Amino acid sequence: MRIATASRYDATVDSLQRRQAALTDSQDQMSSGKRVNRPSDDPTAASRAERAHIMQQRIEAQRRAIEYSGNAIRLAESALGEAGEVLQSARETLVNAGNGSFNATERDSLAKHLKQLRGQLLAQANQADGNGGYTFGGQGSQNEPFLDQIGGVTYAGTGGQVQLSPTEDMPGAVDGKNVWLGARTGNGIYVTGADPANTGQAWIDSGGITDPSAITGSSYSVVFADSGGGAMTVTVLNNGNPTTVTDQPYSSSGPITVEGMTFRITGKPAAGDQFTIEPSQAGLDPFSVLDRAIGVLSDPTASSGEVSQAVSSGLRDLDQVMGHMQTARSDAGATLLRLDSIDVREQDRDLWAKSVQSSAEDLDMVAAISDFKNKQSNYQAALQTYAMVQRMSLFDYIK
Amino acid sequence: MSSSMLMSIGTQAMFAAYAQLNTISNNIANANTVGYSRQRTVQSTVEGQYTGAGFFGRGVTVDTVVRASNIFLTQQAESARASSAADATQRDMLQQLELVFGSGDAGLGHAATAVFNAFSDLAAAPADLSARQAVLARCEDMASMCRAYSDQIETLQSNVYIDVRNSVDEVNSLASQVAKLNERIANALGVGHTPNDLMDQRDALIGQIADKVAVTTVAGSDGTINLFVAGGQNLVLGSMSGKLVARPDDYDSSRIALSISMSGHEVPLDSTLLGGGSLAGALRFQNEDLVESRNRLGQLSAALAVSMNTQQSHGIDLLGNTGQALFEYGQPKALPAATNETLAGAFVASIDLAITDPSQLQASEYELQLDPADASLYQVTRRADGKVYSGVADGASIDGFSITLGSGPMGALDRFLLKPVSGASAGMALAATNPRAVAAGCPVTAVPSTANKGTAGVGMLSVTADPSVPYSTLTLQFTSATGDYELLDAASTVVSSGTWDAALPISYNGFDLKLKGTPALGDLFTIAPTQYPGASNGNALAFDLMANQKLIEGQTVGDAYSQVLSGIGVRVQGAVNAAETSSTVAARASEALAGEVGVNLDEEAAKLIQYQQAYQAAAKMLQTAQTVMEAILQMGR
Repeated sequence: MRIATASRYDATVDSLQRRQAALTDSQDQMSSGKRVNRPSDDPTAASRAERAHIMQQRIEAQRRAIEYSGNAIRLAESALGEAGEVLQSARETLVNAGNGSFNATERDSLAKHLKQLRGQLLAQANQADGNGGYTFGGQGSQNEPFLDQIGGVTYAGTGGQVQLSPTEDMPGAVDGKNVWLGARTGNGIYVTGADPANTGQAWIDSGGITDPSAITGSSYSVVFADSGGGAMTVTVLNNGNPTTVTDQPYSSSGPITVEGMTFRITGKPAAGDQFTIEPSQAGLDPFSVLDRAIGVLSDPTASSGEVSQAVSSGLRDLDQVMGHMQTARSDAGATLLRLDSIDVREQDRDLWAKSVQSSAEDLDMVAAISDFKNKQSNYQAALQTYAMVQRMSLFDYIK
Repeated sequence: MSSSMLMSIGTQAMFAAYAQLNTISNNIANANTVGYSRQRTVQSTVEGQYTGAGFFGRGVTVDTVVRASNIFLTQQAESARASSAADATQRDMLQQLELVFGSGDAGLGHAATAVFNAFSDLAAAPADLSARQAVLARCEDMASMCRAYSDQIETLQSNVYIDVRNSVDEVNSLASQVAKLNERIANALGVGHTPNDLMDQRDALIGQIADKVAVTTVAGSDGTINLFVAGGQNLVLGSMSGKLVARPDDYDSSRIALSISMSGHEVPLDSTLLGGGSLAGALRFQNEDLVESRNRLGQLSAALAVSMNTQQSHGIDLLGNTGQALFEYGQPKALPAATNETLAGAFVASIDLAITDPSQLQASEYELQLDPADASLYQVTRRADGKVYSGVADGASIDGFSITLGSGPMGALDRFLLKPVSGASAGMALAATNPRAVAAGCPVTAVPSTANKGTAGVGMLSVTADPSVPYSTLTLQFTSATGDYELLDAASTVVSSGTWDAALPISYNGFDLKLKGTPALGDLFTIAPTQYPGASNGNALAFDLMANQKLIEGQTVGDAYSQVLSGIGVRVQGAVNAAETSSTVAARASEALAGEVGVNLDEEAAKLIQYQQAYQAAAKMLQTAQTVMEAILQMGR
């Protein structure tokens, strides 16, 4: 086969250039550390890397939302903790006020102390979150959400919890209306009370629950009758209908159990005395509890009986409110835990996405170096043979 | 036998050897000349002289000089060269196109995700004006990126236009030179000798034409070569040459198309039949790669702009007003063919398009004509895959856009090119400028009653459609322990009822309410018009969620863009491989041709020695003849 001299030069130069280009490509890859610099280098890997990149970008936003939510809930949690201390202090003051030896002036100073505590509580409820909103703002309010008005504190916002993520449960504020104004009256399930027309000397405790599944939520009345000889019988009516407790003998402080509820009546009831059991209502708030106590304590004409009554019902209600706020606080704690676990999950996903992106587009240095060496020796061999072969010509031998 | 015979033979031999040496020197001199074919001196024996003692040779004569040629290899090299030029042109242009679509931080996927992320940040602080400003800034980034991509694509389009026009001029000039050479070669052949250099020149010219457009060569009996392009159209016929004409496309004047004119007769060329050459590569790039990229980008832009504008209209801004459009975008267009019926210089028929469902939009253009089976309906062909929609009624929607006759009537031969998305990205712009106009708020707010006993809270409340009646205060009441619910209006009339399912939202009047936790019997939720628009983030969350929604042909924005990237990557990779292969084929073919017709210096060196010796031998002969002659003259003294 004939070989044209000029085309042999061209062909060899061409192939040398090709090898040089391959070598430069390898070098480019090694200096950038990336195997995929353009989509055409490996379209599938480029697309995988792009998706992983966008995933990381989304995770970044998600983690910002988690952080924001965590900050808001942490703020609420610590506010609730402080509120608990204030309420505890109010409780101690109230217990103190039960001391029968106090005169009106001493009670008044206790009332003043309670007023201060009430003011602290209101300030905590209206705490700003530093972002133009309120920690207990719920789903938004124009100004401070809790307004101190005649007749008590009202909520001037939208209740509920604002959410910061469309997919995860990540609250951006705490439902202040529920936390501050949503405690349940009585023992949380029902409220016991005495008929004001009672003539006997008996009182009813706040009661307890023995069988939650048997609770009906109806209104009951407890009626006393004289069975003769001063022995009293007790009958419990569910909305006027008889229950299992009908004409049972009464003993003071003996537990009366009916339809899941157990309560005690102590003292000496008169025949015809009635006690009521109503389902518990939401809407008990610390401000009104304190207002009622302050009202009685600061009244110089209040009798010691009125004071004792105010103290005992005040303590019951305060305990209920504290319990409610404590629940809200532990809810906040649980939310923080959940946020932490979401954050950990997001971090894991972020790591995963990073590794996907890296494995898709980053260079395997070991393989790259060996590949580079290979190409380098190929190029060297090509250069050497070129120099050797092209030097040979018949003209060298014509003398 | 005269004694001068010796002298004559010697002279002839010297002349022949000299002629050979002359050709060899010419070969050596032109060893590196592009297009030069090795030449050879043809010599033959002069017929012998009859004498009584038989035939005595009378020496050697030089017949002619021929060039080495191989028609088969020449044609093969030309066609390989044409394919290689087409592939290389397409590859170079595609590599430019690949640079348009950035990846990672520089990509459109990143820009779109940044918009959704900005909404996520805004959801955390809806009252914060700077968070709203950030949303607008990210929207502007995205819109300007769409525009920038589109601008670069249009720059490539105009480069194609200019390249094609220049190439056409070049081909026309080369073709006329070939025609002139044909004439000169035919004349020279008439004299009896082949004009080797003219033929080399003509081959070189044909090779240059093949670089631009693939040609078929047919040799004429008179030594002329006729050239045909695009499956049989005359480019050169003997001494006549045709002209390629670059003209605007029938539908779209920004695209270029070709026709050929010969003696005043113009015929449109089908670009798919061009076969090879840089013209074919450029047109292929224009008609396939650029169109596809423009449509993919347009599909993304239109789907994003329309769906975000719709979402915006479902929310309320900081002032409590219904959200206005966030983006402007290039509207869909129906272009009439230049051949459509006209009246007083204007087209009779026009077609209006409107986007009806952005998530259904396809990255394609469509051709529209009247349905041959029923002239009251349309037949629409999707160009990307050739799918035909027959019997499309006026006003009906296909692939997410509706087709309506603007003015009419439409003629049976009228054709329209429908471009639902291709102009969308060029017209992308931010429509909203006031950060207060970002509709982050949801027009309704759901509030659980504080007396609720169940664990249900509001998961997400979002508007998915325009309300059918004005929003008013509604109460959602659970009427059983198994999740039966009723929606009551202010007058306690039941407006909707159903059974709650954790996976499904409670939908009424255009809003979707998703609960988290489980409701208990008697639980109440109030759903009322939002009281504090500044604090509501419901619509911002809905925007945030769009990042995960399949907005574009069943894909999320990120996935759709990564597919655009891999799509262009695959195209470039394919073109690089094709160009590599065809350039290797072309190199082989030209090497084979060069092997046949090129100069090998070793061969010439050998011949140089051969004919140098022949020349020396002939000179010796003359010396001998002289000696003989002198001997005869001595005898005479």
